[in-house]
Amino acid sequence: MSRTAMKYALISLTVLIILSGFVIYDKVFNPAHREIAKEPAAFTIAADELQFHFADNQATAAQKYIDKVVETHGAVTEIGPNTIVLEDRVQVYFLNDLKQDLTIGEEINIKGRCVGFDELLLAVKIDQATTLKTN
Amino acid sequence: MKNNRTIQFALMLLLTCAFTSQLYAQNKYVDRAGYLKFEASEELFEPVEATNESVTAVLNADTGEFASLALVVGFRFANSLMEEHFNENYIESETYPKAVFKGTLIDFDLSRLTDDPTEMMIDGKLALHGKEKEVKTTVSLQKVNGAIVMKGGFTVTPSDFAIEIPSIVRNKIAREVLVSLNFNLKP
Repeated sequence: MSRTAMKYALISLTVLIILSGFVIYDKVFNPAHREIAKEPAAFTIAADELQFHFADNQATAAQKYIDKVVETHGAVTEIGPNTIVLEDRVQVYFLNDLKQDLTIGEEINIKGRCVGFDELLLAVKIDQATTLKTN
Repeated sequence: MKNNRTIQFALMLLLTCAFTSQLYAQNKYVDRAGYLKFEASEELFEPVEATNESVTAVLNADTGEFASLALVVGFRFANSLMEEHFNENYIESETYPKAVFKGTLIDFDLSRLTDDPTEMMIDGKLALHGKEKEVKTTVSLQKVNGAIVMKGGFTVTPSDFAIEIPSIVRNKIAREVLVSLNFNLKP
């Protein structure tokens, strides 16, 4: 190998090492966020039943459901900006702006991350939610 | 005749119930998707901040009593690893899933609120991580399309709530945590 070829090989090797260093650093110290919409649901449960679990025993329900992906369904009882309430018992916050035309009383299926029980509203909260096709 | 009276009584009772429940509902202003942000960034280091857009806030417009609840898992960081550490090592969200503030707006009077922001003192207790601390701060309130918009902020320290910051990251996290809030309370 000639001297120049050797030099180029060395330079590209150094660049490669530095680049992979950056990539590894980024992967280790700034890994991607969870994508709830792509994760399979750990639990599939009716909205009122999910709320009942929390109302019945907050501590056990918290251990079981918080930060888990939950699929739930029920009738829409309230619609707000980017949020809806199911069965007066589960408050759902959507991942993206809610573009779907939802109506009060409509039965829907959603998947999201359970964040816990809100004692002021007596409701279970789910964030990063996406609507699922019902049919 | 007797039957008629029973019906009359039942009707009265029903009306009274409906009336009082409506009265009660009218005085409560609620935000189901309130905004909270906290910041503990140090210059030159990665920003330490998180937002929660699923906070509940309830104001009793008769008494000025105010309550707010944030589920701590709902705080989102730009850096997912920071979010994980916050939940697992610092705030211990599995054991202490919520942060609750309960207090009173001093000299609150609904009729005094206008379209322009009015400054008001709020005094109450913030409970999180199994500890409680008194928080007294100024907030601004204004009426916007029948809703009450409340904005403000306050500072706390991790040690107020027995949250230990390991020495290895101590210089990357500010000693004082600035919390800001924005609620849109609807009747």
